[in-house]
Amino acid sequence: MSSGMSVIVRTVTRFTYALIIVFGFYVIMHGHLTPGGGFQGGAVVASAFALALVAFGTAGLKGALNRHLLQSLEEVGALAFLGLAFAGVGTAFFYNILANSGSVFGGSDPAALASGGVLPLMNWAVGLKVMTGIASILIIMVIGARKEATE
Amino acid sequence: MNALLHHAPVLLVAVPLLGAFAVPLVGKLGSGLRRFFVGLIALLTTAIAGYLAASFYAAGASPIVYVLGGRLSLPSGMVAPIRIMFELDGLSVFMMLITALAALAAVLYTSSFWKERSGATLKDSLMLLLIVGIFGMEMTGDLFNFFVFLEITSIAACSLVGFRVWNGRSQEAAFKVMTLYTLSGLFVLLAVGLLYGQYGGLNIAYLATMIGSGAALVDKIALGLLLTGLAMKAGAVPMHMWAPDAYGEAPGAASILLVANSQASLYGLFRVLFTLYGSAYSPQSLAWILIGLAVLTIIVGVTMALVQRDLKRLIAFGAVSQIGYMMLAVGVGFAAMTALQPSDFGFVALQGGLFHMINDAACIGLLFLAAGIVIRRAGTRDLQGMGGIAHDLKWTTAFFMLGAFALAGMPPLNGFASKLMIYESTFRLSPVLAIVAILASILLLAVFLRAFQAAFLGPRTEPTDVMRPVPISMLVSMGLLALVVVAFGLFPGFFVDRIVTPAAQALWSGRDAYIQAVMSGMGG
Amino acid sequence: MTGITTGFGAWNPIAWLLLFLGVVAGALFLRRFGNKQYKKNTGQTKVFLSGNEEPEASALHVRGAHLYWGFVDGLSAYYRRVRALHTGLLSDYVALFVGTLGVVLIVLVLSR
Repeated sequence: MSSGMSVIVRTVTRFTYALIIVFGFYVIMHGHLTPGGGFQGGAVVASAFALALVAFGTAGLKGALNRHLLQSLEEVGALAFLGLAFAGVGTAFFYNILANSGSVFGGSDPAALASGGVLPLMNWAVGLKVMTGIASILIIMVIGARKEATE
Repeated sequence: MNALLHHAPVLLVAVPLLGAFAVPLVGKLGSGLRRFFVGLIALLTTAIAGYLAASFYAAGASPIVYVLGGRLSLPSGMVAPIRIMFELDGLSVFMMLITALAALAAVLYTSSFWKERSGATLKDSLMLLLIVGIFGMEMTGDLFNFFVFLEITSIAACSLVGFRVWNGRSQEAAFKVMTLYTLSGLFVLLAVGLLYGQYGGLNIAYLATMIGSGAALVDKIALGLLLTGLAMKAGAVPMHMWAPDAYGEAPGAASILLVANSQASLYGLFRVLFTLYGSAYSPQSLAWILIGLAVLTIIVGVTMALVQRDLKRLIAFGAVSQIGYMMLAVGVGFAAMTALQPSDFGFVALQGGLFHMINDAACIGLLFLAAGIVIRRAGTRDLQGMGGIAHDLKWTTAFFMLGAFALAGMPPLNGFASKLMIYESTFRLSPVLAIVAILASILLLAVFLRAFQAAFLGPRTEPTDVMRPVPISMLVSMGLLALVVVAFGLFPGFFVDRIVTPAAQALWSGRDAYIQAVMSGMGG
Repeated sequence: MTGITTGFGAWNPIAWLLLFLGVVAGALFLRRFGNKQYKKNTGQTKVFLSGNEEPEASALHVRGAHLYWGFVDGLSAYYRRVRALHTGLLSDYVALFVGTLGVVLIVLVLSR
């Protein structure tokens, strides 16, 4: 696992890596408008990390994916989601404070990107948590697999 | 109604959840700060639970409904309750108090137990997550969210069981627990799906109004799936096999949370039997299924405890047998309630069964916590290799003895009070059941005398400095539970009147109030 | 206030405690009439094992696995069967769950 795969795979990965991440961000961003959302988009982004891990191996990545940083970001995503839920506590927990307020994301056009109140923000929080969470699970699994291979 | 009280039900879930996610970040700043933070979260949660319970009982114990994300009714005027909501009646608040007690004791105990081990951050996070799941199961008014919280407890619980990753036995136990919890969760989900397909709703109160008298076949199948799935998670024989593995391998503080988790599943079972179906579908055969499982649980639990050599497995089988007492009492209550002429002894049985739940949480918790110290001290879990612990650990010895006597129903401790109510009400339904329960209780005393004799009495084995002196926070944690044991034992009438009777009332006659609390708010 | 009534009987721990203290006081009172003539730290207070030496305390401790041997042996027919159920195999656990589910479903479907 540490050495990576053939040059064909690595070259294709260089091309598709950014595309997959952009597509994942697109799914997260339009979560309140189209099928998908934070979880699905986050999983798509994490699949790009998985591809990089398989193609280049942990050694080839040279620590570009820092597990401790990813885990901290995962907690930040979870706390951001919870914080948005707490923000509505003036009325009720999870109350959508931004919806129909006229400010950012408070647009009244239901098909616009800047609508939905706190929903897009929650999608971003979930997306951050899922992409970093799955990525750190993958890294741990790769480390475990390498240990087993060397034993 | 002030804002804190209004939001208290959701804060009980949100505060530990916040803690669970923030612990890894706080843990990076230092282990002392992390332990302070976790203790603060646990204290805050317990304080909210206590405040909520106090004002709930002061207001006459009428059900509270909390709707997440806005008002109960929808702008479109739809009459089915589709929002996520918490609904608390006497039983939910009672269970919430048990969980708060167990959570506080577990967090206090664990703060020094794992000081020198790695992975303590993860353990704190998982324990808070387990507390979140248990609170959620007990408060939710929505069948699908009940499943979600059930899964949260399953995941957190099996991670805690398999926490000692360096130990093959705990990995095996975690695998078994994970498989069985998932299985029970999937059957519960199947039942929820059947009910949703039939009635188009997930709210417990709404479904209860839709299940008319003379349940359809699909209702019966859903009931069977819910009953078996939840009974397995509660640890009823013959589906109890996971319990000794789980309780035995989990760290000491996690064991008490697993007990609270089993009781939350039992709560779900009672909620389904009495509220979701209740008077709509309550054949006598259902009560006898419950009683049959209970008698098996009592007998097999106690007799298997007698032959265990592993101290934690011995206590675990004792815990299994106590689940049987609760199921027996509630089964008797159910039989009396649904008989052609309801008799008052059923209400006493419900009181006894529910009172036994909080007593069991305190006694079994005390035993598990004391056993954790004993095992660290002796360096083994095998009773054959122990002896003479009482020479050095005086408080631990006293707490273990108190827990054992209370659990076996020695007067004047709390276990006697609740078991007396169970015996005398069960006797009115069938003397044989009462005799079985009493004999099993005597046998349980023998079981714990054996454990006590083997571990605590006798000459010192290898005297080491491990766990000496026992950390203060552990003694405080056990002292808290011991205080509950003694207080509930000396003043049973006081506590039964205040907290147990509203809970029993919620089962006995609270179905309409539970439904009305949600349904009357609709359409406005 | 402190006690509970079960509809059949009643239980008051405070009264029980008072009675208990009374009995203890009575026992201590009777104990005062005992014989005080024996001499401490002499042969009178030593353990007598048919004239044999008393073994070390550590040799006398009955270990956990040895207690209730007779009880368990008397019920060996029962224990053989129950222990055979606790195989520790996950597939058996699942089979017992499915079996119980089947019984419960049959009873529920057949009942009114």
